[in-house]
Amino acid sequence: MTFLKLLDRFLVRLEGAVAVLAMTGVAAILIVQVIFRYLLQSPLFFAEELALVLMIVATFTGFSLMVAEGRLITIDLFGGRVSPRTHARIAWAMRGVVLVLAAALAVFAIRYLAVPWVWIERSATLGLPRALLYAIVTTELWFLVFHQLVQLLHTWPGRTPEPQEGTA
Amino acid sequence: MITLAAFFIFLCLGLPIVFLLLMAAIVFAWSNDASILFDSFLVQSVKGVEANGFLAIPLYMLVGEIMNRGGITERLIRSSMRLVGRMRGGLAFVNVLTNAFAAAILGSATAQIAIMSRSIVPEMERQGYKRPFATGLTVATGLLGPIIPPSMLMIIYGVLAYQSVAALFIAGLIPGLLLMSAFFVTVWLSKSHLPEVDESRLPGGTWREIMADALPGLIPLTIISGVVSGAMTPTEAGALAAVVAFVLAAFVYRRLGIKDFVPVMKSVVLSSASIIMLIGFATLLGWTLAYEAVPDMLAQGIASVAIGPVSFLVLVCVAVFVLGMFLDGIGVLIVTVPVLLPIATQFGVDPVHFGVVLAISTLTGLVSPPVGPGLYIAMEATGLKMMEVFRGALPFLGAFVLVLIVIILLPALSVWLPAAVGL
Repeated sequence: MTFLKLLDRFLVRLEGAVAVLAMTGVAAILIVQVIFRYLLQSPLFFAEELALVLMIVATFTGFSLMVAEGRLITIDLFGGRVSPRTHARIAWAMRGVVLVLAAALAVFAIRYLAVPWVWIERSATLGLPRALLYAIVTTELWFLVFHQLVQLLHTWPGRTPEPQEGTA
Repeated sequence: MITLAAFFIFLCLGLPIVFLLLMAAIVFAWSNDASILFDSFLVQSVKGVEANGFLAIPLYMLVGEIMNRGGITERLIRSSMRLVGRMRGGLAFVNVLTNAFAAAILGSATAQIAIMSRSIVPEMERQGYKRPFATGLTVATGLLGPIIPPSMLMIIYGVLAYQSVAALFIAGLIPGLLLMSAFFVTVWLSKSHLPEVDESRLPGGTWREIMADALPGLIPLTIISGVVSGAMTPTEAGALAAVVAFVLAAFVYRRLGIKDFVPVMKSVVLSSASIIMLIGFATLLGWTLAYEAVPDMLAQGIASVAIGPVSFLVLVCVAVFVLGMFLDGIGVLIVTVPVLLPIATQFGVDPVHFGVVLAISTLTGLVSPPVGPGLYIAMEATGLKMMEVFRGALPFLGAFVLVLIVIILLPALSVWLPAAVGL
């Protein structure tokens, strides 16, 4: 359990660094593109595509971080209407549903990547296989599944209560 | 039917909204023997967000984050106090004006409600306003965020509907100002809620301080002038606005340092991810529903009931209001635009006008019980109950709906300005 928690924390830090770098890259590329387009009159032909790839990496990494940090937005209709114990059980069950859904999506993604022809398609300006982006996103989905599994084990009803997921 | 039942059951049980969309897509495909779609789910989610227009989202989030951490919100409040703070109920007017300024920077209602509920509501309470009135007003004026440019909803609608985001930004200006005026009038009519002005709390200062407080005005000026002149795309204007906001916060106000870099970027990652993932999974749900031609059936149903453009837009507003009570505004847009836009054009509704009406009507659900997410955000920030917030917001929501009706009846309010500036 401690090992799982340590690994979870390590992954969170790693993903945090990747996400911050990717998002910084997005902002930097788009700002540099404004300079190149309007001051130097010579726009970078690959800027939008690279920025989009980095945005998608940052988004899926950020999504995994949101799950790890319990920051997903939920509508809490039961808070205050049921006992804290029942409320905790419902919240735990919903974490389980999130785990199943995320794992299903990750499995679908692996099945898609296993088809050889999907690796043939290349991006317009960078010339990278588009499946590479899907592979990165799939890896992030598996990290997300891992974070959710650790949370699920750690918040088993009856254990020491954990902070609730963010509500809105 | 199974999908709808599962959606509401899991919504009530507290499944995170983004996973609700994924769950609905999986259940729909499974219950319609369309499991062949499963393997393309990830690709469809990624393709849903792979549009150049969406690059503007993290940039405007970055501007908002710099604004929040760089002390720009406080400057906006002080500038508004100098302008309207001396009137009776000055702080309520300040609330409306600050929210209009913030709307010209932030572009998101939920972000705006979250920031303003924590910054201006406590100050209003200190000056004798009742908390439900102050919170209700803040919730309602937060709705200016996605109407006054820049607007996240307009960016998303523009990408989905293949319309110029610049034209949509400009189209939101007159409706935004109209709404702001309606809120001013409603505040003026709420005399029983307005305490006398406490002159001692009004900001003074030298002309230098006044100018320094007014400098954040450069951010919306950069965005709007860049977009209106046609010199920049909304994404490029967002990039430039981020530079202006950073220069103000780091070098003029000296409130942002190197140590703030990682927290700022991490916050941008998380807030952008929550919006972009919603877009991705809502696109996936829309794609899955299209497999069984559900959008076509809905479109035929609406087209058979509506008899003209006005009745069509009213029907759309009612449908969007109901959907908006359960789904995030972005989800509502993604599910409805591909279905409703073709019918709107059949009825002769201008796509830009339709975008403005759709964006505004989406917001009504955001602040309507039992699920309105805007109410939840304000409840969390102020400790009030949902109905207390809603009752406080009710007069302002009445004004909001009135303005929406005027905009439906007078399309020129949305389409005249973009045409006048050649967009």
